[in-house]
Amino acid sequence: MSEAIDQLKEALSFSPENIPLRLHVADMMLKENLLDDAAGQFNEVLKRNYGNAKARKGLASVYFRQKKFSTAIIVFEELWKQDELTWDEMVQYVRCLVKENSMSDAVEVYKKVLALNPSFTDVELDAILRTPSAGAFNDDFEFDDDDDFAFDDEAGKPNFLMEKPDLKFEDVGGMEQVKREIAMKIIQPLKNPDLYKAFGKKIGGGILLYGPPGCGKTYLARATAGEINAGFINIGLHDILDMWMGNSEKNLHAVFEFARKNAPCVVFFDEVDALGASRSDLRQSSMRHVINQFLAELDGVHGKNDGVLVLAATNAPWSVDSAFRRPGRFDRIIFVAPPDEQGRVEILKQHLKNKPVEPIDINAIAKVTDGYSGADLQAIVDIATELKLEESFTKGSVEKITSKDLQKAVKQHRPTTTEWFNTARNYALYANESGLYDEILKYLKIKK
Amino acid sequence: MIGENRHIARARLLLGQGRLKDAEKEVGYALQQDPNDHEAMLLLAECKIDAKDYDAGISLLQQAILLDPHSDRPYYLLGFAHYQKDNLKEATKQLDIAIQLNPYHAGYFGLYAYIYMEQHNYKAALEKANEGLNVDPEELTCLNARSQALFRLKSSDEAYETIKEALSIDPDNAFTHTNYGWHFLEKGKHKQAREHFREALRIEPTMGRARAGLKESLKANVPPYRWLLMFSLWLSSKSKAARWGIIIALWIGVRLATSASKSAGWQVLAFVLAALYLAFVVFSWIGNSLANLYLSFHKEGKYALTSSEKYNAWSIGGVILLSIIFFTLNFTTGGKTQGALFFCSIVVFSLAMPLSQLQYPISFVTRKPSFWMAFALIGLGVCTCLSAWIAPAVFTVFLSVYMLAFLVYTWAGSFSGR
Ligand SMILES: Nc1ncnc2c1ncn2[C@@H]1O[C@H](COP(=O)(O)OP(=O)(O)O)[C@@H](O)[C@H]1O
Ligand SMILES: [Mg+2]
Repeated sequence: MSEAIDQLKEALSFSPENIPLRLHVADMMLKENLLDDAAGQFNEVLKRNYGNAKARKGLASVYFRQKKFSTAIIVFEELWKQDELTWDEMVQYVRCLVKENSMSDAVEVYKKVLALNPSFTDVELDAILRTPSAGAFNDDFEFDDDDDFAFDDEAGKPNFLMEKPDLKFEDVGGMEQVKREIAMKIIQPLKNPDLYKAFGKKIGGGILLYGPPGCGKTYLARATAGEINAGFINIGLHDILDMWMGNSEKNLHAVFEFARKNAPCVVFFDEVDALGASRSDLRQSSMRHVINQFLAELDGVHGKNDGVLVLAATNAPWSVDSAFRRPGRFDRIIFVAPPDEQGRVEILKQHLKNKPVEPIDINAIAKVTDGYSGADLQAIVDIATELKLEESFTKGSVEKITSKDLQKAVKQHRPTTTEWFNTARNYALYANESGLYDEILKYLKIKK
Repeated sequence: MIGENRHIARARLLLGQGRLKDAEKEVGYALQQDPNDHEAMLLLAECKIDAKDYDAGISLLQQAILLDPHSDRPYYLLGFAHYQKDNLKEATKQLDIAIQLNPYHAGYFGLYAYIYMEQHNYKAALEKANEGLNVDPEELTCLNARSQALFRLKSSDEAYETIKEALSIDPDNAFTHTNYGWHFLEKGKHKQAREHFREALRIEPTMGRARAGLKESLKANVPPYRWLLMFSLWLSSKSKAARWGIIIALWIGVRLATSASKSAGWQVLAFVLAALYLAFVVFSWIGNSLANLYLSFHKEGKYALTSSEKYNAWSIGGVILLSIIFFTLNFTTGGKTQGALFFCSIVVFSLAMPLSQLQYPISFVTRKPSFWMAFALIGLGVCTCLSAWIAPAVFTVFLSVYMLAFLVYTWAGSFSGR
């Protein structure tokens, strides 16, 4: 203990009733981080002068530093009601509340903090409290109507974009295995419900597709709807984000209600990882809510999901909340790999259909495009087409696409899946406890 | 938050999810609506910094500060970007402003502490970490900085205490596990280190420092490499001047010890000392490649190697094998080549040193002089060995030129710090 404090303590022993002096000593102890001693002095003050605000504040500060957050809250709360807290103390109070998970109180106090100092920002507090679904700032949100997909609450009817795709499975090149799984898991039950019941197979749950971008996840989901002549509701990244920011429950419920009314219908959640992913671990409070709502709808808690097929896709399976993978939910998780050679042949054929082409050695192109995604192959055809278009303009006649053009395009366009696999490889190597990424390991030919 | 537009709210969520490209796109929309939106600019800067594009981040932050000079976060982010760019002085300057504007943000002190760590000023680092912990006793950056500083200040007990606390606050923090792992590596406890790196990677599989750590902890299975690693980690905690001091003192020490033992008549001791020192020098060049060679046969480790490291390791393994073959041939075959084979074996072995400095695939467009020096030496070495068969008359000439070049190369290599 410092000499100054010792001297003052001695002075106190001569005048024990000198409250300002005692407070001064306690403050010094607090500064020196002598928490227990400081608490003792503050308590002494309160014994002599019941309700002394400074002493109570001091005590709260001590408890805060001792991480006795619930005790600190009791003291802070009283002071808060009496409007005794300074701005700094309010910030401490908010931190305590957050640590004790009293979110609604935290939001209330934080609002005051921000009102007094609008430029105040704090990563941790902001992440927890500024997420509007925590209830804090809903009223202040301004929704502009520039969206492709909007919920129309006032009319009570959501105006989803439901389409009737005319894409079929046969338009999707390769992916035989994936198509078969989708057929068994969701198309057949829809077509022959009695057969499934006879074998005691439960109907329900969805399929989660994952894999590198551009390999046809979205494309396949759309084709699934087309294959069975069902409606297709595409809930994209923005819609998912907006569910968080707006009144999420209503929106999710509305999606499912709408799908149920329009069965048969495929509801497709694209980039579903956005529903639960957060780098910081502050997701609990605000996000859990949306996720739970989603799971409840998936489980059919709010209505039977007969005729509603749920598909989801993600490029980042590692960010998908693990609750999604439980039985009866997305219990089929399918890896959509870049197309193999045969698949590439088919995809190239797809994209060259209806284009002026010379006889092309498609097999040769497929051979040199290992690791290229469906989107990459499309890009290659596009590049070749553009090359020819230019030539046709200058020559004034329709020039046909040749093998050479495609080869040239391959050289110009590098595969976009490499980066994804660089990341995925690390997850498969180091975080594969549940065998979730076995397919990735297999694809990368890694034996563990 | 009042009147904040939807794009900004989305961008914030996306940034929090690490979807940098999507976040950037959303911010782009917001900036289209209002090119002077402070919040949007800040978010964009954060995207750039997260994507390690520090220069872009810095220039955006400077603009944001012009718009609102009283907000503390941009200064903190500037400090962080400069810290990442190793502009420690500038980082300190920005961080001072951030803390002045908002002394209640423990993370700011944490970064400050790490800047001092980088400058090997461990006492100041400890002070800053403690200041931060006064604001928020559970702030993990500060706790980590505190423990690392305490280790350097030789207060191990307190340091372990602090790490335990950090782990009890958040057992799933990859950063804490990684720091703990590197500490154990330096102490030569590679198995404990490995546990922590594994845990860190289970939590955050893409974390580069943890992957590097796991790799080193596997390589540390080979004892001499473990010692080399301990030595170089310990060395790296010293200031630049101290590092040079240690290396020169080591050299002088060995010289003195050998000559002293020679004059005392202990020829064997002198020889052993000199041999040990030589082994140390050679191993400091090729130890990493040799450990990588070991790793390339390790069940788990082989996936941690980049292909450049693999080729590098194999090339070293190759020349050592060749050198051993020459060496045995020298004694099993008689005739003219005897003697020459012995020298060839030494030359081939010495090629491991320049070979250890090569990157694969070999690129001839590089302008780095160290590459060309290594390459020239390898060429000279190969010619020397070939001349033993093709033109034995000039072999000795080649050999002496090679030895001279080799000396120059190693000295230049040592002084350029490789
Ligand atoms: N198997 C495939 N057959 C035909 N086209 C494909 C295939 N896979 C991808 N494509 C093309 O690539 C584009 C992008 O695919 P998409 O489904 O959006 O990929 P993902 O959702 O996996 O990121 C599609 O619009 C389609 O033109
Ligand atoms: Mg998609």
